Amino acid sequence: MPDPGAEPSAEPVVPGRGPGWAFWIAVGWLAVIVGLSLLAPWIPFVKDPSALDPNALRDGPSAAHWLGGDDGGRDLFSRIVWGGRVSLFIGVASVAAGMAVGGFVGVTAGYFRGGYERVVMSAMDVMLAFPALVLALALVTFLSDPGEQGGSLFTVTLAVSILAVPALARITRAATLTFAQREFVTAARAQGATHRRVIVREILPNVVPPMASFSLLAVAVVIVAEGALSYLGLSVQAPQPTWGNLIAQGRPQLDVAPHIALFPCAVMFVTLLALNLAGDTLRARFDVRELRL
Amino acid sequence: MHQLRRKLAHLVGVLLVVSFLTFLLVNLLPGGPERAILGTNATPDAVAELRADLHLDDPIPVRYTRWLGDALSGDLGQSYTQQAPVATLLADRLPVSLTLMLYAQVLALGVAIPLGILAAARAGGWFDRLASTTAFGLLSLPNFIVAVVLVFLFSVGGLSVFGVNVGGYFFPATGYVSFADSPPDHFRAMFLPSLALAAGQIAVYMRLLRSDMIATLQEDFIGMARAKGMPTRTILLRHALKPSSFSLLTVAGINVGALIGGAVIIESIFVLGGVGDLLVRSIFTRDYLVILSTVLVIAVGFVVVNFLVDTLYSVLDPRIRDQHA
Amino acid sequence: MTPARVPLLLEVEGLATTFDSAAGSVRAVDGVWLSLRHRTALGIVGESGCGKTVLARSIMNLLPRRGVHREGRVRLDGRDLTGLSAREMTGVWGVDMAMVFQDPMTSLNPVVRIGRQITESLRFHLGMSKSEAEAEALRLLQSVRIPEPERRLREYPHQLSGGMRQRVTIAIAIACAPKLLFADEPTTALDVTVQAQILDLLDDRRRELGTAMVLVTHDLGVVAGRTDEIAVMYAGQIVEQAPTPVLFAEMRMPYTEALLRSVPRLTDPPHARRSTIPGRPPDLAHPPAGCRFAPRCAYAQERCRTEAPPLLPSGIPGHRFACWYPVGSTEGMTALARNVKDAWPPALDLVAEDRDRRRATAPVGLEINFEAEPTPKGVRG
Repeated sequence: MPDPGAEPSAEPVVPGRGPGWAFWIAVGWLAVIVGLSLLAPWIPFVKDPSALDPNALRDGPSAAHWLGGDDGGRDLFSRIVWGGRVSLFIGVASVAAGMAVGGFVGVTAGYFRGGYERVVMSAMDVMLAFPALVLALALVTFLSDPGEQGGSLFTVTLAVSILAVPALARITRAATLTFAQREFVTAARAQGATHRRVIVREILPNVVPPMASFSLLAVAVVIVAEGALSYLGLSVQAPQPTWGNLIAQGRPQLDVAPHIALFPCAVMFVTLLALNLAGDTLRARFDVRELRL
Repeated sequence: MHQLRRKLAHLVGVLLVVSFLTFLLVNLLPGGPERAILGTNATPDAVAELRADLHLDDPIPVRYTRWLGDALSGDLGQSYTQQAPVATLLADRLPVSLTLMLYAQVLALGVAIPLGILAAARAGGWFDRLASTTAFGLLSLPNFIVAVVLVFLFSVGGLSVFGVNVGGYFFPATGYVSFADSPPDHFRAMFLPSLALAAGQIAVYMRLLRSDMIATLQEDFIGMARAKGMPTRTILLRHALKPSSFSLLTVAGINVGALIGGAVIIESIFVLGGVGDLLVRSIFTRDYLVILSTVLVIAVGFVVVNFLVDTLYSVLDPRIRDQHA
Repeated sequence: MTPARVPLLLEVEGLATTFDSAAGSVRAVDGVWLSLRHRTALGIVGESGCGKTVLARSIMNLLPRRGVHREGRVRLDGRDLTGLSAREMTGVWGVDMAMVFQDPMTSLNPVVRIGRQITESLRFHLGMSKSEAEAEALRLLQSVRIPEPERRLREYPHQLSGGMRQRVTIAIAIACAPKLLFADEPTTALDVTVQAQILDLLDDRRRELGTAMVLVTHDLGVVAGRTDEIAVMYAGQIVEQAPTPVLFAEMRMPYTEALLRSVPRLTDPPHARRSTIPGRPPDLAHPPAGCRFAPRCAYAQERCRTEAPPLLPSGIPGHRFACWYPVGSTEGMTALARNVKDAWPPALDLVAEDRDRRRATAPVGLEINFEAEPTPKGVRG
């Protein structure tokens, strides 16, 4: 029975955050981006991103070049699609790696507690004592071979994964803590189940769904980090396109050919917006708000 | 007092660990610190001389203590590419980065606080919905995109929409002018960078304050203040804002990390020549000592700011203040 | 009787308050008519969830505007308050009408000093200077018998005990000498030992200032000696109303009787069957047809379940009640007897409890009744 004495909540539902049309548009956009990225080499209208067309030099959108050409006459649409491959790969791979390591650390810390938890979580806190982008820069530098300019796909992915570990470990630990004291876990222990069995059978099934719903938001964060690195020229190197280096490349030409920077900006923004919208909807569904970063 | 002492001890501990890690990084580098100092093309003779010079064959703890002593006395070593003491390089650039972050933080809070209050005061109303939706969009907008769009709109003429020109040539696209040289030019030069850096923070702070205020406005003491006949202004500013602002303060402190990271890229977009700029350049030239010192200074600054915010927090909230007394 | 009409302080006409909720609209206050003379005290009594708090807040117009619909009319001292905006109400709140809230732990702002919380309305409404307001605040704290008032002015609420805090909220409420004071379960959240002190203090202060009071409570014992009149509320409606002595002597409505039974008495035998009223108040999103108390009433008959009894005068001046089979009447006796025969559970409970009471022959003066009040902490009536 609703308590008539209780004041009705003034908190409104923010429009477009329920699994309504906005959620499905977001999912649709992500599907298109993922599809294009995966199939880029085989899709006929995605051209070679390094093919030079002297007729399209800094040209605006046209039938031949949907989003125009860059300062080398390369097809901007194709470069954005190929750039998306890098962003999405690093985004998904780093979050997966970060989830695996951070998840392991978090679950074991939250389950075993004690000195192990203190040591491990202090280590995570020390990592969080470095501002994220600065740590990323340092990691990319120290992980790359000397002499190599910027990073390779591998070093950037590794650096960003390391970056993601402490935050993900904290969240997983918090989620584990809420379950580790529940009756079903105690019951399983009392029946003589091994730690491994309890973790795999009792804890993981409860911790994984909220973590998974968090992953889309994490991918967005990682894509921004990679974008920043590649804008600075420290991610995967030109001429291979990434969203970040496309924007950096267009930056000095904003006055004469703004589309070179603005189209990648727009695509990146819409992708991040879609990830956040979809991620937020999923997160709300699994209600892991209290486990916020 | 007891609490403060414990926090100070913790602070010193974290600083030691951070500095030790940074020290280890330079020593575990491929090729060792001699290459960090002399670069990749040093002759074997020079390397041998340096190793002896720096007592590199001493055990790590001894060397760490010595290095820490030097660092504490302001000696961070010599940049081999710029032929200048690292400490001097940093000292030249720190003011630029600090002003940028200060302006961004002030701008972000200055915009977010009134917006958050207004949105919460009429939660669910059109203003709230507009502000909340905009904030959600802003959160998906990396600061380098904001910077590029701002430059496009306000530095290089903008674009014309149906014959109406949106934007113009109001602010310089690059370069730093110090306050001492020309205050108006200083603010003109800093406006777009600060705004680009502040944009995301505005959204974070506004959303946080809004939801805190909405919760606070449900409290009994707000009903009590209303029953006293206090005007809405007083209720919002005196009774609701203060209890709602503590978590804002905490997050503003934590966000200094994001601000530092953002400053690195914003400085580089607007060519301001700050610490971030120095860091990126040294990464390209592999000037390891500069990289390490910069990272160290940044991390120490971040840790100290968080400590200060934590302390300030307990000074401002009477409930926590008394628990500690 | 003089032909001149006694001027009324408060007139409430057909007040109804509806909340929009997920379960449909909830009519928390459903057509209440009330009036109150200057300097008198009215008790509003009912279980938690019966709409007492909402009624008090509706009269004060303190409810949030979004999602709340208010019908009817409220006049204070002849002035119609019905259509006033929140801004206009700031001239009424605190000055003409004030309120003491239920829980002093939450009704004082934790981060504003006590002194400020008292002086701000003095300065805003009465235009006092800072020093005048501070002197007045000191006097107010003394008048509510707070020790070391100078020190308290500079303290924060968490440094005070619950009883002290409620004294502070009383000081705040009476600061501008309002004409009408609402006290919403002012002692429910407090320690039993200080409850009577606070109630007496409240009554003293308001008598001295010539303030009328509406005292909202779930406990008939609280209003017994402190009010001139009592209105019993059930499911958003007034079901019986009378001058205090009349109500206790001549109660007609079975719900009032049930409420009275739930007040612990010193004459109760130890471990007596405790009459908390069985069942729960109805869901106000879907109120039952007929009398709303019928599902829990020992006297209920078929008619009660289909036809709502109107609130009608009993014949005793000032006494109104709404019941088809009133307590003490022939119809009521017959109805109860029939229900006992039909094994209607509420009727059986009533009879069983009466038997327990009668069995206790000797008064048990020194027994302490350990069965606590049905204190609905945090839940407002």
